[in-house]
Amino acid sequence: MKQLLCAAVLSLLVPVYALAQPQSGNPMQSGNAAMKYWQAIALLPHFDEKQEKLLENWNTIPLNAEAKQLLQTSQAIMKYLGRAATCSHCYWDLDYQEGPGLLLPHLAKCRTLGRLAALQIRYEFDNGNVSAGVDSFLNLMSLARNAGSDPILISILVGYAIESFALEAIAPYLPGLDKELLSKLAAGTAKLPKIALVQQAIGTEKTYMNGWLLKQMEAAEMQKPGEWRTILQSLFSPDAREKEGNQKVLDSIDTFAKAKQYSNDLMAVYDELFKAFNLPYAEQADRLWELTQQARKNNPLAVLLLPALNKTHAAQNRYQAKLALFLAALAVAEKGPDELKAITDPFGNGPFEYKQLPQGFELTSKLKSTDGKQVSYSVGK
Amino acid sequence: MNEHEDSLEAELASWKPVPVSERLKQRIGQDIDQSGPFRRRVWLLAGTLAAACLLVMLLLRTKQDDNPRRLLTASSIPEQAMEFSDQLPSLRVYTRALNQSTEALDVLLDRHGAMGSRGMLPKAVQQAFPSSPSPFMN
Repeated sequence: MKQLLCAAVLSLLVPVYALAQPQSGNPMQSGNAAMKYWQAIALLPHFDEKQEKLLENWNTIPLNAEAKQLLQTSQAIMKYLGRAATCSHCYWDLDYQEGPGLLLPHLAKCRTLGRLAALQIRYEFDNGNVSAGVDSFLNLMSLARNAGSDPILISILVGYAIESFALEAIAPYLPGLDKELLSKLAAGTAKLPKIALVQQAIGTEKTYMNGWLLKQMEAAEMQKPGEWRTILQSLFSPDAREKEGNQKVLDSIDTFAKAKQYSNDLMAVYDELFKAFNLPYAEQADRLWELTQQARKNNPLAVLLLPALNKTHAAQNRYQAKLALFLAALAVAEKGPDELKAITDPFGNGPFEYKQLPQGFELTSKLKSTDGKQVSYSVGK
Repeated sequence: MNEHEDSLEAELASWKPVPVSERLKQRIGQDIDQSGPFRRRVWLLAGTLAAACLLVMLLLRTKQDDNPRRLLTASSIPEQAMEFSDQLPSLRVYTRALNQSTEALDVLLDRHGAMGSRGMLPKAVQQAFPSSPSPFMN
């Protein structure tokens, strides 16, 4: 009887197990990439000061024995980055309800992974392993997109930073790639998940910074009148230079009713900031600046809570321009500069500017960085 | 029928209680003495069960985060203030650094990136198991 029961259970389980297995031929796994990244992070060796310096300067260091040794200790990490890139989704499971106390321990570690992977790309190409170099590039791009997948300004900025490592690492080798690999790069990049948008992060700021503060102050006040101040003060910077500013905020918000009112008023400011992103590109920065300055003047909580949106907005524009330049560079490397006629600069009315270099070329967008220089992308050594 | 019952009753009535023997008294006394630890065990068990129930109730109560009254307790206030120390990679400290400058954010991310490497973890974390021998040392 027992044997019959076991056989029946097994016969039910076998098809379930078979269905749970990834289909052969389908490179996309259904797993969570974040779990693979955490395994890669756990495998990060304890770098000594010298190795940290090497990593920091991954883009300029000579690819000598030291760099090779650094990469040799990181082979398992590279494997996990590759596995993460085949996952269908990335869920970091962040504790948003913690509000400003939300911990983002993965971001700094992802940057370290990013630098290692960028060095790996250089190493592969330098050693003639072009196909492995392309794979490493796509894995790094995947890490960038996944690190920036949460609608949090800091996550988004870290995503941009990692992606800039990837674009910089592959740039010298693009003109030397054959059509097949260039197509693989274009197709692989098109399939990648997207980094969250800055405007989406405004919603997060509204709910989990200002919304959290309001909720916590209400709870504290219910518990003990006057205790709302402790919550407000917990957000103050411990920096002595900001002591005066902090005191100003406290002086302006002297009652709980005022604190609540300022917090509610600030909710509307977030909505206006979000709407500013729907304006034509050229008007966005000014509108964001105007709204932020106005809010900071009229609302002491804005001084404490509003993020540096102008910086992140500029970073988003720069990122979008760089990505468009990279995709255009792939097209030029594959089919020649005439391809540019069909590609419009997202920050201008026409195509990107093209300039031939001794061993490659440079594409330039109309977008200007905060330093006043136009954003460009140079390929070739 | 009635006659028979009457005779039975008469016989029962004629029975006299025999005084309790000393031996029996001693045995009962011993039994009572031995049941002491058992009773203590019953009380201990009941106490443990009550404590466990209390613990479960407390845990369930602390999970009710949506209730604003539960969001904050007197002891949680300093904990929150601690979370905004730049020792921890919190949203608040990163946002604060970004508001200063993108370079300040870079520096902070680099510092947090090195945590765990070169013994840069906060002391409390470093000494979580100060005297535990590594199971992988042998």
